[in-house]
Amino acid sequence: MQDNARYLANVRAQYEALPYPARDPEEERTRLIRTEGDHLATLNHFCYRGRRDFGDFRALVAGSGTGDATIHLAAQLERFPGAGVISIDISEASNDVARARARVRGLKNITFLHGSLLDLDEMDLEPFDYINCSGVLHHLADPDAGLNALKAVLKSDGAMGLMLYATYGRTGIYQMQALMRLVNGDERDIQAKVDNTKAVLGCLPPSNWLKRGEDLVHDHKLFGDVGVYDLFLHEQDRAYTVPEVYDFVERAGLKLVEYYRPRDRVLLDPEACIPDASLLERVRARDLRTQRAVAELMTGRLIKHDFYVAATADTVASPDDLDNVPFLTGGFKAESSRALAAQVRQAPRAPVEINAQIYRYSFQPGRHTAAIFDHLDGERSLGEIYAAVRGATGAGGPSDADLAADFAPVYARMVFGGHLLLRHRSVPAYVAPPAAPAGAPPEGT
Amino acid sequence: MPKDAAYLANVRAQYEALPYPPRDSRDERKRLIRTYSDQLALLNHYGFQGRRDFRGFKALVAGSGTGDGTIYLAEQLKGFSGARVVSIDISEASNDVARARARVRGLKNITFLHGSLLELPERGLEPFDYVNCVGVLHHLADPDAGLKALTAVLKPDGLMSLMLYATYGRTGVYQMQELMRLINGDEPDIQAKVDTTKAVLAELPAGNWFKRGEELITDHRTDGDVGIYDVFLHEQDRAYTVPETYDFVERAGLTLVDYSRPPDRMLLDPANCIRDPGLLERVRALPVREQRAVAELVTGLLIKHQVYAARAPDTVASLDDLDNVPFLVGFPPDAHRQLADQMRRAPGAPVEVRTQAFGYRFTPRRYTAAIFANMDGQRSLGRIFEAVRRDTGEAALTDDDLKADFAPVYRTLEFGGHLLLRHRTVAPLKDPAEGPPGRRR
Repeated sequence: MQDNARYLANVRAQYEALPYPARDPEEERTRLIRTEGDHLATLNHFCYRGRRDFGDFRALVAGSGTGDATIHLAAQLERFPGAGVISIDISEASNDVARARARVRGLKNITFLHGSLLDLDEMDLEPFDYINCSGVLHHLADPDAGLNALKAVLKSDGAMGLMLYATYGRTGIYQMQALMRLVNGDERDIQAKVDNTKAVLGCLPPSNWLKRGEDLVHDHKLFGDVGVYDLFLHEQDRAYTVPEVYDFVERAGLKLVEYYRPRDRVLLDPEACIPDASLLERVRARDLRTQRAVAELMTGRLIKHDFYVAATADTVASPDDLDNVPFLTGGFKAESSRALAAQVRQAPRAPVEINAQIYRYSFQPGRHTAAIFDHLDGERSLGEIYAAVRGATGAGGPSDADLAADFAPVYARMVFGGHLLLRHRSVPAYVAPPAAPAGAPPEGT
Repeated sequence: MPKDAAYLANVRAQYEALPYPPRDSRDERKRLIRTYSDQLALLNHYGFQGRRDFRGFKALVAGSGTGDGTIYLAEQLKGFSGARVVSIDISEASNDVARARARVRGLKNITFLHGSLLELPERGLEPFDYVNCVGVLHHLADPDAGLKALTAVLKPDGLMSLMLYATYGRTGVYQMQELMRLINGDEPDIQAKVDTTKAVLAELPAGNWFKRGEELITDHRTDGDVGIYDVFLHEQDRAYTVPETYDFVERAGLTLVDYSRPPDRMLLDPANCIRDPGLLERVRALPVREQRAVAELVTGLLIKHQVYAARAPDTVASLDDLDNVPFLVGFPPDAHRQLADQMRRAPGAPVEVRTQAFGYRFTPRRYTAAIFANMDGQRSLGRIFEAVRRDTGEAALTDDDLKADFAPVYRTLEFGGHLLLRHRTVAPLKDPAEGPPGRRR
């Protein structure tokens, strides 16, 4: 605790001086920042088998900073009167920004707490269904203690959305941090340190490793001094490789459910980075974490691990449960299924290429894929869809098992690509909160 | 020791299978590989205050591999009575290559030993004036134990030349090593591992960090399978930063004399990579090792720390000793006069010095041209200064005046590896021939 106490003093000072990330509460009038892992429909699919009704959902945002996740969760949960968000941060300056954002949006379902997540167990809180802790644990002197503190306030069927820095994508950042420690020596003034860093950034040669990986790092350009400090001057900052992430989660007695950003799943898929068939086969023979570790090293691009963890096994909604309703997401609209059906009919054997701008993948349609897409309207359950497919083909048509087997590979690829999710039919469809809060002046007035 | 034993078994197996670096003894008929840091003139300047006569000189090459350092040292030492090279390696296959090379060159002043450098203190050898250990200690399970073993067989006034891998320049290498450990898993076959590595190298995407730093590493392209194994599949391989290198040397009770290669000294000079004057001033106020640590991180280019280390302090030949003879290195024989003429033609104009690998400049001072005109590689500083007084007619000039005038130019050229000192009692050294005597090219 000695170490943690000293750490907290330094890091708290940093975040009091430089609330992170830099946000202007006034912008809440015109846009909602949608933190990907906190999307309730995605959470429901991966962490609650699609069966979660959010009526009394209790979410905790631990290390909430200036409030991106807090606001996104609260905006989504606003329509559930019994649901709420608790938001805790060691920086009161950051909490002030988050509070102002909530005020602008008129959100009343947030409780703000000031303190360390390490003290959560002493705060007498009811346990949580969901804990968001994004970009926080790697800033603790003892991240394992942090994860254990979170687990202590998580319900037994709860889940967490965590983000930890990734070692290889941040290669240049850690060399820059070492450089700035040398250059700054015992300089104490935050602004002087930031100014020195800017001077160094201004004269880095192309051979410098931050420069070699410049495409990967943006915060210092996006967030000004705050970004410069957070990237290059952080008092406490460590990173993890894929195997280290799995180990970290498992040491706490938790299970890594899945990387929640489709772009990361694609990045960590050996198939996307190994064209050589025999080499790919060799890598495919290894367990999932090793496959991902290989892809992480090959591509070198992963800068963060964004993933769900759960206390129990089997939290992902299953296509074997025919009461589950499949629905398109991630940029697809409900009616996109018809376009996909038409595309498959036009070239029944051609792989369907899906280009999501920052990543791409493809799937191979099965015999019944077009017919299944005909009925995949986001309302019908798998059982209803299969019955409708059978109805269209007449007597002696394919059984549920036939159709499920036919759909399985397509389903798996589209879930992997972030375009298909399940919810149990007893749970209402997801309603996305509007970008601007109700009653806010419309844009341009 | 059990850890070392296990390590040795693996690494020995690697080097028995793949002697490193790959060398063909027949090439000795036509060329001599000059391992820069083993040049006797440099050793004399940096390690022996310029006063070393190489008669009776005992050199050790520890982890000699296929013999580059051994052969070059033996070639230079063969004219000195009683001078010998002891060459030790854990790979007998590598020793065989080195022995064959020595045979082609007709070198008789080498003793080859087979074994680990960790056992040196127990082998009853006479202590050494010079120990070369290049690219070896970072392959030991306990590099500190290795350096301790070498220090134990070094004379109190002896010098070491060490090479350790550098962390940042090898950033991509270590990520590749990790990748290959994952992919190769428990594959024991060396050739299968090499083949898989080649398949991976062919597929690396642009974002991969080895790709991002690809220009820094060449061994896997120049040395075939052996190079691939050594770069990407080594069983035991660690690297050091500048501060870690200083600490490593000092933990063994040694002093880091200097980086031995001029391009590395240039690379590690903040003045060469920091253009912002305020920032440079700030960095210049740090101790040398931290200045170098800053430059190492800024440039990201250093892949090896090639350093001299000594037990005693003050081993570098000094400008203060007027009996020292300054001599140009890497210039044609008459260069001192040509440079003097150039300075006289354009007084005060900076003189550019260019090599293939690097360039720098120095600004001549009032007496630089006159000093250079007399700096023939034979005259001592005292005699040069006397000649300058005569040539300029300024009889009142003291030696101290001239030394002060010469010092900045001297330091720049010394830093660039182009000006060294030897005591006047020591004969100038002759560069050995490319091929062995009595052989036709």
